[in-house]
Amino acid sequence: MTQELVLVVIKMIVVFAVALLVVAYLTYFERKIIGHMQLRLGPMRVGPHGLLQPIADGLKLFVKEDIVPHDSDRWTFYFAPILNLVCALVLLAVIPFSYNFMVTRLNIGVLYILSLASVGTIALLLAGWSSGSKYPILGGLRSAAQIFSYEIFLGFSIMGVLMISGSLDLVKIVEAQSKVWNIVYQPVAFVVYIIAALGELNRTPFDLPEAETELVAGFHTEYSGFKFAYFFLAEYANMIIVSCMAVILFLGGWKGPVLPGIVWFLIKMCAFFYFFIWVRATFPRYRYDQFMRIGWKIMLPVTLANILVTGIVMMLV
Amino acid sequence: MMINAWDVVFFFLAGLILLSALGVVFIRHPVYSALSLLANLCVTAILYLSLMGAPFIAMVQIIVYAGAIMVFFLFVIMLMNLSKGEYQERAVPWRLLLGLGAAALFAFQIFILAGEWRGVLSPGAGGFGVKALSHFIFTRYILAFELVSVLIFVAALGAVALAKKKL
Repeated sequence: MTQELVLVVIKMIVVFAVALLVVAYLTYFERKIIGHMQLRLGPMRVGPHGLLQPIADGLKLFVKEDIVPHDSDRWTFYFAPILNLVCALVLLAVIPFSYNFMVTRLNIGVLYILSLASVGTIALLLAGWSSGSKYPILGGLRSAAQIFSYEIFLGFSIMGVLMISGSLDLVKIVEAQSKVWNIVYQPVAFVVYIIAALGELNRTPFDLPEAETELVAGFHTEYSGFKFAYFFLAEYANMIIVSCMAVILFLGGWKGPVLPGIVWFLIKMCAFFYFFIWVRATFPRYRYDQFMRIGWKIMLPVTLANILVTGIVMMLV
Repeated sequence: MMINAWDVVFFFLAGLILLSALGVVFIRHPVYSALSLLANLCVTAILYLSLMGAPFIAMVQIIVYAGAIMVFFLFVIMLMNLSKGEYQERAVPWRLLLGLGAAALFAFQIFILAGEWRGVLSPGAGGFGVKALSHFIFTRYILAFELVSVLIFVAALGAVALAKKKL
């Protein structure tokens, strides 16, 4: 009993420490990769090839003045970034990085992730409202409207995978892909999932809640210092979660030849990181009504048709 | 009456639920009241998860209520953006009565449950899995299930009809 408890605590510390380090260096790689895609060098000054840049950024955020606007609602203003980061980090607890490396195994892992991710959006809404100025509240309201557009087809795109594996348990979903990865059976769902994931991450081309050309910085305009860092960390932690989910649901999780499972998992995860950064360097932002139209008039019917076809094929085969 | 660990958990969670429910009713500030409701829904989900061994219902509770409906509530509150005077003036005694009535009802429920829940609600007592639930929904309760979906559809149509004066 005690031994198990100690093991769980160690796993938690490892997962969260590594995740936060990965988050810090994701920002570095994002700036580096986008820099090279735009024929720039990216950060170069701090350490060799700017390798210490994330640490310098973190220190800067620590020592910066923490400003609370006069018109803000103080408690909610403090509460929102914490809620956002907590909702992002607790999701890591159920991600199986290999067959036996996970903090806890939940038999409804998929639902757990969907549910807490949706609570995280409330934090953006609260942050926008509590700042007490107009750009943040517009950003907050946009994020609330966005959640309705993408969350539905995010859930529906996963449905096909769940039907094939017959379980909500993330480990069983991976085990069901021993022979063929789900991306082969569910290519349409995979594409829809990726698009929905970009919406969930508030990343380009769907970064409408923080569109800097229209809303300054959207919901976190008034945040500074470490409260801003919370939002930043949460955004990148969500990027990890979304990548992990894509790997687990569609790309066979830790399955792969020769190399140990966890290495395969991390390789596939990094491929998604690269993809998300690549997308940011490639596409312009969608207009708000365009994003809504894509969600309700294209993605939703496509996912519904996908579920129907999956069901029919499963009945016939 | 022996008090075991699950009793402690139950009364702790029940206390939190009661406290946050009272918060929903008595806090004047609309956003804080909504946040109190959010806390209430989440703690109820924890109660389902820890004591009833019903993780599916717990997660659906969070997705539907905490995730979707709370976002709607906050959306509306923020769009209306009530200024301070508008919500502090209304001191209505019937709200207090309603709150006390709900509290009494809840206490009564606890009283009823306290006799029965031991053994029934303890974890592992035939936990309510997704498969079992969907089996019930799609066989025995199929008619009720479909009727509920029609009801929701009608409600959605009604909302559209009310919002759009000209169809």
